[in-house]
Amino acid sequence: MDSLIDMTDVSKVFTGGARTVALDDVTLHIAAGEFTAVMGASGSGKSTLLNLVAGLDRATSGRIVVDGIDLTRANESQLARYRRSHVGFVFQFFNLLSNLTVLENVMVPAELAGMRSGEARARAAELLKELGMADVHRSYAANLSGGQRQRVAIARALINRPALVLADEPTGALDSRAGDQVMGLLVELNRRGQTILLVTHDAKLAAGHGRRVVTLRDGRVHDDVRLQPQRATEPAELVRLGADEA
Amino acid sequence: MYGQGMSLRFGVLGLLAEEPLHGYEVKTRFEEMLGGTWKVNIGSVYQVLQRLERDGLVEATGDRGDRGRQAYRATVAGISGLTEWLEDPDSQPQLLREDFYVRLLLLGRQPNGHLARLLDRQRRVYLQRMRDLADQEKIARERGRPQVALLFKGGQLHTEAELKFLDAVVDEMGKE
Repeated sequence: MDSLIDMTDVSKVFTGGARTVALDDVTLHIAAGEFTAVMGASGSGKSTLLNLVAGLDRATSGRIVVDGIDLTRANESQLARYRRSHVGFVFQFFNLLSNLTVLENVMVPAELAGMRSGEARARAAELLKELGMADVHRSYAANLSGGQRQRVAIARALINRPALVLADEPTGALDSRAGDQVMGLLVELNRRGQTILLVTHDAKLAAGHGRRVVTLRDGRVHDDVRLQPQRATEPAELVRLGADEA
Repeated sequence: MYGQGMSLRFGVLGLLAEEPLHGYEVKTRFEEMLGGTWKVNIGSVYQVLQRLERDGLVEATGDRGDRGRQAYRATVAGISGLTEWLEDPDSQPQLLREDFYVRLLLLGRQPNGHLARLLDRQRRVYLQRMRDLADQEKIARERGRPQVALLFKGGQLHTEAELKFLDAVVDEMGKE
């Protein structure tokens, strides 16, 4: 199987103050095109795992290769280039720049990656249109609802055609309806082939949308399960309101 | 007085407060309202109708139709009883999955790791159920049944609670 992410025997130990083993000998392979949810309570190691795959932090030991790039051997400038061109980030609190318009926010990573301004503008406009945000190009992020902001953030994440989209609690700051829309969008992107790694503490998000659910506990992979989507189930097999008749 | 079966009794009464229906119509409408999460035996519907009539909450109306079917409607006392039930918050004890909990208690007395295996398998069942419930919620929304979608949303929240409970059991065991 063609792996997009290969983590082999990866550990991360924090030594400031008390020694903490955040990730303990984790091996995980994720194929291109997968929608994987990494789930765990706070302290389980899921944020550490995300930071390592994102190239935001370095493993203490082990090897991490993403899209053919060995993150454990890359120098700082190679890591920066990796983050810009291979990874799209979707964060809980959107991280949009409030003094830029929606269109300009989406263009930022493209311009940082060296795309010509005209091309970046055209691609940003196209993405916003696809995500149903064509009418807010010139608005400032501060004037948008949470759900709209997250859709802008998703457009921004996609502008450099990343091999991998990392979503860190993407619905954490949204009401349930806006959250459902954002997750629906991620599912649709995955259907079109986008590899997505979702990190969440929320089982409803992880199992409700991910195709594969990896559970971390105390820095280790506790469980790794592939779920079957769209099974033909009768409602009464799932929710039983009355025990009237068999 | 609000034990098992009260929701069927008041479900039937609620439908008859909307318009007169005969027994089979009550059954199909009740099932339709619940989005397939409750299949009711027609015998139970007739039993409920008889009791409601005995208690003066519904009455027969009109002539017996073809095949002898009798329509019923809610009486004034029925509507007032229904209103009271609808406004009363549910204060019944929390219903737990007795089968799983009893297994859990028995395995917890054994030292040989069966409990950990049960918890792992149970966890996978809940994760798959979460997926199935999310799919059903989506289907209900696509079909324009937001209230039925809420049933499946409720199912997901209950499943989430069960998953958290499994984690609590693991944490508790880890202390020993």
